[in-house]
Amino acid sequence: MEMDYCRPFLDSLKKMIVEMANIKAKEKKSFSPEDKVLTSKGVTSIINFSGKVKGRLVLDLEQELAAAVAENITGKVFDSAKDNKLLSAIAEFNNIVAGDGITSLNNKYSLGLNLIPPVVFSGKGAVICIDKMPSASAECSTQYGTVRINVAFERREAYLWM
Amino acid sequence: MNKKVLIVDDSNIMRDLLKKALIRIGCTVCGDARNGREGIEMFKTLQPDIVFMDISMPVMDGVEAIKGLKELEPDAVIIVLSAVGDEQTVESIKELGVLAFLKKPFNDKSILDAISSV
Repeated sequence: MEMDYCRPFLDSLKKMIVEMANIKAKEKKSFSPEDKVLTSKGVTSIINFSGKVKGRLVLDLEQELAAAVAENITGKVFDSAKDNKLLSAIAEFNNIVAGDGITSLNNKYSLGLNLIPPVVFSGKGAVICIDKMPSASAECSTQYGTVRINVAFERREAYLWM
Repeated sequence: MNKKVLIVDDSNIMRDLLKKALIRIGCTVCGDARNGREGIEMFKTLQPDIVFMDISMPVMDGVEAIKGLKELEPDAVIIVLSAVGDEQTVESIKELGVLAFLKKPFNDKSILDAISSV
């Protein structure tokens, strides 16, 4: 696992949560290799990216934080973490965090990474069933709760030149 | 700044936010499409002054859609809004003949700056 590839996503998360939702996030746990099955804190968004390497970013937010982020982005109040607009706002938030992170990586390492549209779901305790790849997790705290960030990278096994 | 704008983005949140920003600065949003293919179809009927185009979308991505629009109308005015904005991506998209490249998230000023040159 290339730990140098993880940091830009955490920096982007901290930057974008202020810029888009006006919420400050403080690093609570630094990146460490993730060896457990991930279970959702409340609202989870997964985005894959591919290029010279392939990877994945998971943003996993406690429900109150997800609602606060979505409310500040959309200007709407949400009663339920299952609201479609709330979920769409979190998916877009993840898209922008991932996009900013891979922008840094592409500029620094010329990885040619591109995003694949994100998926999002809600359900505290739900098992996040994703491809097994070497990954690392970090955590940030905010006034509304915590957000876990999990970054996975894997080298491509082969390229087909046609 | 009364321009007729078509929005092409797969995120309903992004379409809503962009629509509100464009209305605030005096534009008219004539339509919004969820992917490049829908965007090309709507372009044919709506004939907008400006197209705001996302890049990463299902069905047909922004790069293919820009090529399609330029084939239909070489002078089509396209502004790209994308979450990924590294130097190589920006360069390759500029080569497609777009007016401007904006990295998400946007604000009213960046939108206004981009369309004020149209």
